[in-house]
Amino acid sequence: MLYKVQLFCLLIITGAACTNEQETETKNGSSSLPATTIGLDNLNAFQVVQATNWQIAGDVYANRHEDQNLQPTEGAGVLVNLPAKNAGENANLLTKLEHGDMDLELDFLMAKGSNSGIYLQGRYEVQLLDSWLKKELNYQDCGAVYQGIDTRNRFAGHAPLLNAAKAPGLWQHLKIRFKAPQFDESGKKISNARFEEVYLNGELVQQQVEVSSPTVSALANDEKPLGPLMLQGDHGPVAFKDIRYKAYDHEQLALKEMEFEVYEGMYEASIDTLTMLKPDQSGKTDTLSQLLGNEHSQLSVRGTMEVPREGDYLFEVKAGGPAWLFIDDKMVVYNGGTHNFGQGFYGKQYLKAGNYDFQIVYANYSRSLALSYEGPGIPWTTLTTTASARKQWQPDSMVDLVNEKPKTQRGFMMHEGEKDEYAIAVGIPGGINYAYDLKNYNLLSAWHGQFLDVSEMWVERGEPQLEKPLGAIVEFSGKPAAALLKGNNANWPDSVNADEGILKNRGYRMRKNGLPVFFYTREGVQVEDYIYPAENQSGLTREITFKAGTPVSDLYILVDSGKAIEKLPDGSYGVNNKMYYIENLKGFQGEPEIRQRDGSAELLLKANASASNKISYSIIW
Amino acid sequence: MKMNVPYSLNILLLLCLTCSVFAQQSSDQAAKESAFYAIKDVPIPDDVILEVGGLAFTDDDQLGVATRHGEIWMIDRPYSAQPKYNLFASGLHEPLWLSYRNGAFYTTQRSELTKLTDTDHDGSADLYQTIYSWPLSGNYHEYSYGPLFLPNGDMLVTLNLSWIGHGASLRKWRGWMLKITEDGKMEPFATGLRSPAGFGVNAEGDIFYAENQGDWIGSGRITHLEKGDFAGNPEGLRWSGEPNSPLNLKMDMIPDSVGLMYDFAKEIPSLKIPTVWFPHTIMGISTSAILSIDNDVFGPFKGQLLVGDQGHSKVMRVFLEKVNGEYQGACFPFREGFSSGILRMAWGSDHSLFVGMTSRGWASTGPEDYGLQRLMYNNKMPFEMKAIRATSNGFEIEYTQPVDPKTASNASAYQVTGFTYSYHSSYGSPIINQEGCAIVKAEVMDGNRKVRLYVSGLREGYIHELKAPGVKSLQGNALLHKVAYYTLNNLPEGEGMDHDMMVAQEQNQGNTGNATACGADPAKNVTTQPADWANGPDITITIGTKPGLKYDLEQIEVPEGSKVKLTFNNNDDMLHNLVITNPGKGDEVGKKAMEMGLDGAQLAYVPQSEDVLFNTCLLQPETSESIYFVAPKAGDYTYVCTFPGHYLNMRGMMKVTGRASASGD
Repeated sequence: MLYKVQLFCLLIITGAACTNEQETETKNGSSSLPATTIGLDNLNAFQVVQATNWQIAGDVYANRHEDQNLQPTEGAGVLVNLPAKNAGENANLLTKLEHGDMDLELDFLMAKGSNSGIYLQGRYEVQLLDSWLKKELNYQDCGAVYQGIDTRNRFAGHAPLLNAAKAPGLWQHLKIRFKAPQFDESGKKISNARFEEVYLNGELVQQQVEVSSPTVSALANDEKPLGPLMLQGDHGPVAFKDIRYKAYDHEQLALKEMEFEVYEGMYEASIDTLTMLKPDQSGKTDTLSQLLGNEHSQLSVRGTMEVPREGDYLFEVKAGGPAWLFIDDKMVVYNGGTHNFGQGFYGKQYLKAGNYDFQIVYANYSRSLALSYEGPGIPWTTLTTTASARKQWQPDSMVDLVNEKPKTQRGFMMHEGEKDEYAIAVGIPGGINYAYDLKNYNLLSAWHGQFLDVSEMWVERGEPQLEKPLGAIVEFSGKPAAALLKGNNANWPDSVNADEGILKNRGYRMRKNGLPVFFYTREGVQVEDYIYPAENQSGLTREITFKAGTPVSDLYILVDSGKAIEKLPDGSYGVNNKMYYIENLKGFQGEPEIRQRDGSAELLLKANASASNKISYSIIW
Repeated sequence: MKMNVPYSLNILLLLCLTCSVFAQQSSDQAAKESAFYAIKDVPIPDDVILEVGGLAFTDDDQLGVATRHGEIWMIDRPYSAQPKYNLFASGLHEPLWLSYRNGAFYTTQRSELTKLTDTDHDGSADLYQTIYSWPLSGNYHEYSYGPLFLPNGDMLVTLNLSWIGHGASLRKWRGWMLKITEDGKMEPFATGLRSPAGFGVNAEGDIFYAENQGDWIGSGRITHLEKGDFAGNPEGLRWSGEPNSPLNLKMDMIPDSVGLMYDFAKEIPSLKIPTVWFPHTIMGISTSAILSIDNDVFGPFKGQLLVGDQGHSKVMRVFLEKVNGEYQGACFPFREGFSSGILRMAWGSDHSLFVGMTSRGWASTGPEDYGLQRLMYNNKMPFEMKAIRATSNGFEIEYTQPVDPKTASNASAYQVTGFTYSYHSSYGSPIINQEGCAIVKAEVMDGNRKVRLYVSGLREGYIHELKAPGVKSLQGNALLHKVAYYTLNNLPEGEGMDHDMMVAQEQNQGNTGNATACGADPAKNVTTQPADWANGPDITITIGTKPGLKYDLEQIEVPEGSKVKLTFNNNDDMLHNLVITNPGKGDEVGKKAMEMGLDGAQLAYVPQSEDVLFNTCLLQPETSESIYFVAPKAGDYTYVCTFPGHYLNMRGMMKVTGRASASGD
């Protein structure tokens, strides 16, 4: 799949907020409507507080070795909390927005030892904490749903499913799908608030956690259909950016007055054929399902689509066989005729409130049809019946653990949204792991925690053949590590999937400690690449050794490339907008160089002009 | 039992559930064969998942076993009751072969040819070298096999096609056999391959590869491959325009439906016709390893080939001869009853045959998920057709023991039937153009060791089934295996017969195959809604498949007397049907289907039986069919896929419940 991220801003009513159009593009169209961004050029999106602990900054730096250290820099776009020593002088921050059901995504950055939290509706907290490298987790750790106030039937809190937290001073990503409590007409609560899913740095840390009462130190101890989003400000230094959300109410699109027709035989090439035919069956229906028809026939359902409010609607069709969706005779989605019922196809349509004619046509090859939509203030909802769609079979997880010795496992792995077919995963006792590509000889990703889920390789045929990291991954650029450059202005060679033969004498050796040393020869230079745990399991140290017949003077290594690379006050480097640190660089000539190439920053080291040398650095996350 | 396997144990538990089924199904034939060739388990420790991908003996007679979980185990004393297992290497990506040469192991992973060496001699590999790697699309079906060493040290590997609803070559050299040198030089060797899991050389060093039924492949077969050959599946031709391609045949020269491959090959010189066909479901369903019998200790068949079968857990035997400069010959049943799906075979130093097995994802009649067994000759001569040679006007059968001249010279002791398969893009083929041949005369020769059969109606390019049910040995024994299949690509020159005139018209007349036949009884395969179901079906059920030869619904429930519309959706990549049987009769019907022989394909493998209540057709991959029936009286009715070999796994239960209340009808 292809992912494209578009960012642009436009002014809306408040004059301060900014819409962040972050659509997920697939080759079959955008699979999501844009979320709304909370503007962080100023504090206008938030309720006014007298306390001064909240401010807008351009960026932040947290020295990861120093407790509660967080230093803002001038500018806009980042929300920073720097609590005063006296807790009483600090305030929590509330949005002007009041919400019920909500999908929320944001980036946050913790100071060392810091503590904060995000309270949905001001009441139900997802905990933020510097939980870096902690092995035993409880309800107070990063990604936890915190303890409730209800003393009689106390919600005890819910620890995160795994430790996905990164080092202090790095940006982390949080995604929450929240369902507000529901009340009947008399105001009596009929269902509890629920965290449907919480993802921390891409890992599922909470799933379907029901919360019976507001969290300790909530905005209020009562429960309501709506409430503001609250960011905790009285515990420790923290920064936020890219806060975006989709807020939902309970409006729904409705399908009415539906009539179906079934035409035996298949006319997938042209649906116009149907207009010339007499249906073999027809009737009225109040539910939409492919079961109205038969396999190897075409089903057409027409009816009225009652649209509750104006806005963009995104429709998704997943069907085993050609399927079309028309609204007012305009084709909104066509699935290209695929028989793959698991593949979604998308079409966006701007609709006003009111009634529209719709038609769905399905050439039934493999008896599966699902029509879903997302709308303004309406979450993804499926309009077809459950029985209309077949389920994709999923194996149970099969966990491959590392015990006393390191493990390696080759397989396919995802890297930047694509399958890498040459990956080797390395699991090291103590809970540190990485993945490496054995075609281009570069680091793909690294993660703290358990090793791999191998179910998609080793259950039945293992159709995806994917090995899946059991932890939050940090991804690297995947560019080759070493190259001979004609001066530091030359472009880094792009050798993704290097042609066979460019790298010679290649493979890996196993050291006595069970860790591999990767080796290859490129342009006459023998390279060895050894990766082992950094001090305190905080990350990995990489040692690249070069040997050549004669001294080489123009050998460089690319530490990595990413969106932005900055040298930090403690001498380390923050890479890819502070997704991880590079530090402890050794064995090179002169100064490390940060340069810009094609919109990416690159961190280059020049090797000493000798026949043999070794460069090393650590990657901390 | 010690179990320190870190991952889920579902697979092992499943095994035990099927143990009892295995006991029942171990056939009479296997029992007869065991008097001559004994199968013995090589014990596997409880904590080793030995899904065999490759077998190779080292110089010091340890057995190396590559597994689908990426391990290489070294088995010391594999001939003993207590072999010792030592983990030599791990972390490989589904290695499906193992070779040993000059102190190192060689294997293919999905993406590359790898050499593994224990440089410090501590018993485990410490050097993993990539000799050559190839592009992949990431599709699960891109299995890679090899290397097979040629005498000069060059290696052969083969690359499966991807599966995207049909076989496809999505990346360069999928569907090819490649020749690779130790220093990583690659030469594309031959193409037209679909699922080339097994290949080997005969005593002369000529290369044969085994192919499985699939798109463009009517039935299993082995084909002699030489440089530049095109073996039939056109997908690999996508790369024939590459500068190093040894042939320039293009995909568009192969129409979707060709007719007979043998005739088409006259127009397309690079098209290599199969050397020996293995009729589908009769001689296995998925040919795998090919191994030449290099010794006399294993029995009387030195110089012949053994061919394993993954789905039917058996080993078959091949006699080859050269006629007009081309290999052709016959395949024979040899030994069935192995414990899992046979993928690899290797000779032990004592000339016993080691058989390595796995059935995960590709079910086998041997019910275990994996296994390692040995086949040993008991030094008791079986009475077999040892060899069949073509003559200008019939066949010469050589026996392992002197025949009883009276029965063996009786022409009616033999039956010969010719047939072939269609060469087309769809999956598999029914048997076509089936016609009986008349046996004119049978002459006993060479001191009762041989019989010369004069046969009319032989056809070049056809498979000839040769049955000898009436022949007895001098000692009065019947043949251990009474049937063989000779692929007659070339009739030797010499005195012929007027075939056309003498074709035995009375035999098998009109039995010419029918791709859409759906069992013997159309009443059991009602595919349109009965006219009297005014309100349509009471119940609509859809059953699909899931990986590993299973239905996605293994229990359905319908009330007695209800009108049922049952849709079977074959979303797998193989042929399947769905047959509802009387309570407790699933196994019996499944077994009967396996015994249908040449007629099976024409009847969708639905045997004629009162225990078959309702059935679908045999469905191509990615097709579906609905059948309509009225639910029988209350009870638990088994439904099975009767495609030979599937019924042990692919089954479910239709629970018919009693009527809830007396309704008016």
